[in-house]
Amino acid sequence: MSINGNGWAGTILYVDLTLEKINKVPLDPNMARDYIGGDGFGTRLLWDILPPGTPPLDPANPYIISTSPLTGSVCPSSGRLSVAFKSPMTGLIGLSNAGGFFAPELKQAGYDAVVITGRANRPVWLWINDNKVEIRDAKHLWGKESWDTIEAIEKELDDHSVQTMVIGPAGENMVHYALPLVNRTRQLGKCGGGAVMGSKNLKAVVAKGTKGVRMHDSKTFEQLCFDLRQNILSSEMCENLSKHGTSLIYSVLEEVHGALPTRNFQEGLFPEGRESLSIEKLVEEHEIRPNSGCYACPIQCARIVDVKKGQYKGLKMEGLDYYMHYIYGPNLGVANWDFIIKCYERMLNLGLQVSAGHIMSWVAELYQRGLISKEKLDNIDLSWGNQEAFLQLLDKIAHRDGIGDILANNFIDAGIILGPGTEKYQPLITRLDTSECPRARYDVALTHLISNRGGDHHKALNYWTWIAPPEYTPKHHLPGFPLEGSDMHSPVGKPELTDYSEKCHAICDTLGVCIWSSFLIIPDGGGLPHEYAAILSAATGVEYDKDKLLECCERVLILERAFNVREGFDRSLYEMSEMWYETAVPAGPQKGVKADRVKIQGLVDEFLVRRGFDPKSGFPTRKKLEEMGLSKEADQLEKAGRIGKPEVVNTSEATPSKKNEKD
Amino acid sequence: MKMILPDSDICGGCRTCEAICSFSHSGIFNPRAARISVIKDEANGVYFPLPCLQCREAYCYKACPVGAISVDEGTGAKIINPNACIGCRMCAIVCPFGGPVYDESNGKMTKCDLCLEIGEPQCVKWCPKGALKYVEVGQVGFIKKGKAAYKVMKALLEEGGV
Repeated sequence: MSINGNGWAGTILYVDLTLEKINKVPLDPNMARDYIGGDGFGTRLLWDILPPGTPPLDPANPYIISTSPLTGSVCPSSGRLSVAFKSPMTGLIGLSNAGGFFAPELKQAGYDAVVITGRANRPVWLWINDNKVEIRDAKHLWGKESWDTIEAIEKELDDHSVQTMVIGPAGENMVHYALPLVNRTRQLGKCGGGAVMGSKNLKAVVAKGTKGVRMHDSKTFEQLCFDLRQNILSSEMCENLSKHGTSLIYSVLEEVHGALPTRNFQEGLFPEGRESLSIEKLVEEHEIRPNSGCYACPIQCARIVDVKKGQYKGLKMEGLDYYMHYIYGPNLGVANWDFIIKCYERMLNLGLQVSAGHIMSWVAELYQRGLISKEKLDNIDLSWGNQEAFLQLLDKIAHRDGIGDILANNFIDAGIILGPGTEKYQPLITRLDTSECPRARYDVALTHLISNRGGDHHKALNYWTWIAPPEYTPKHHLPGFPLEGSDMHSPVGKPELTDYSEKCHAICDTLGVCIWSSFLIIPDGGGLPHEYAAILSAATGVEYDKDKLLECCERVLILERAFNVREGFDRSLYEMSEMWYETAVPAGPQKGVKADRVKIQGLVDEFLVRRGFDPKSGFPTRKKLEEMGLSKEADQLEKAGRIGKPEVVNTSEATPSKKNEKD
Repeated sequence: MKMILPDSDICGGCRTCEAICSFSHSGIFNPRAARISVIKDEANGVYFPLPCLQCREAYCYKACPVGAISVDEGTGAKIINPNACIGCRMCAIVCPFGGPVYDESNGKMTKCDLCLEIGEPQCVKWCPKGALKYVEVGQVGFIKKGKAAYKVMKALLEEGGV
């Protein structure tokens, strides 16, 4: 059976910027079936294309943009775009994911994926207009901020309907945590993809497509998508997200968890912001326009904040979410919504990830502790709450000006430059800066430690243990799962739960659907694994059931982890900064609690065994790789001496339930 | 007479209406071939879903040189007969709202038919936020008055009573 017109578009676009060569290659049906799309395609292609050991900013590091068989349809929240590369932020696999409208447009133009390699000899941008693909000169765009770039391109094309992915000055200057922006506010965050684009002299990728997306069994597909959408809309969580976005969780994290990241995670409460940074205060001060959504999304959490007064009056900011709320608020010791909104705008226009906020809070703590001098900071007084100073520093980082040139490095490199003792205060888990405090919460600690792109909450964390009311438990998914297992403060059941929810996250990331529309976040209405399997089968004509879909996702996850092993990492990768073990927060529900290294590392061991990895070396076992159809990859790793011992380590009594995975 | 009534205050710009419109008419998801479009000004956060308004004195109907456009009696929908259409695009030129669109697949013009064959406009059925309503044209004024009054009443109540 042909795959073209069965969900997939059937073509991968290869662009070599060094040779300025454009090549269209039919999508391999086996890869399509086994890796589906999104992170699956990204990981598969990255493994095949990247010469092992290539540095992230080398021209040979590919920048891979992927869609899925569901992209461009009416499947709820199916507008997600996946980008893969080796990350300059961590050296690990870089997987960034954003909503907006670029992915459906690229698919409409007829491509399942775009693989960009090499380095242009001058600034360029890539124009994908259906079959016509052009490498265009970007000299006049270089140096422009993100929104100006978008406007200039739209003007150049005399077309406002095109969809854009652009970098700002931070990406051009290869700041390690620069991001590409999708549309005006959707962020391909976390892994420094903007620096990879900058290293290729690639200012923007722009798409326009008119070809249409066809499904295998249209009628069934339509009905399944409609049913799922009705479920999502019926959820109370969905309605609240439309109104308040993810800022909903701000007060939960402070009041219930005592884990609101405050002054670089030194504290878990921020009393000075309780009123001035509340959702109610924002509504009172400015105008909120609810319902602003990504493509085909019933939730639409990216409400627009229309700034009505103060020095930033007139700003209209879409998608101001929990991330900006805490990172430019309590994290920097600032209790001022206007400052948060302004930082958000600067961050987007300079083309920086939210990691910039963590870099700044880290340095502010160093300043507080006398570990960095004012002179070293170009005479900036980086005291907590000094708003002007932080805005100035953001700008210096993006332009690599003065101290900004040092801080434009990823945490690990910057820590080495600033000297021993500074690294201790970096809010890192598995080489990446985290937004969640792992001290008291075993679900946070484990899901972040084992995340393939480094510690973050978008790869395995689930709502049931994280922020849900106690009545939500995973018992519907993992029959026999103990009630205590959904308690975030208990290590019980966490490896089993993390195993399951990592695979479910991978469903979202290979199918290009938003986790906010899945049961991981909306437990009473979001898409379940068997529902996504049915939708995928109707789209492609390939028979997927829940088990087959989960198997495909496990294959993707194992290949991601094996990629990190191939690129030089071992068991020691799964570690977090000393600050989590050594210092406790002084007040609130988490008062006095420090992370328990022995218990947490025991959970990691257990999890690795479940994934078929050797917990001693951190390497994958041949048996597991072969089970997943990855014997060639096993050969390659074995040659490099990076295959794990097959012995099965005794899993601890912390995981009582074995029979599971039935709906 | 019926019409699709858009509400730009509620529309979130997700373009589900465009995708389902194209799909319902051709079995292919292709927002650019849809009969309804969401006009977006992202910089100012303005999203305006614009369907064919099914004008009573429809210019498209009057201007068609071959009489390819007919009027559905029950709903007042103006419907293009693809077999009669010569693809001259005159209907698109005279329409003040961009109702008629060019169909790349057959070189003919097409436009919103209120999904008469399916029974109800699919864009209305699928809009997740209720920004599109399928209403009797006689109700339009009342619906809009209700919305305006609600806004005023809400503001007054917040001020501390009417």
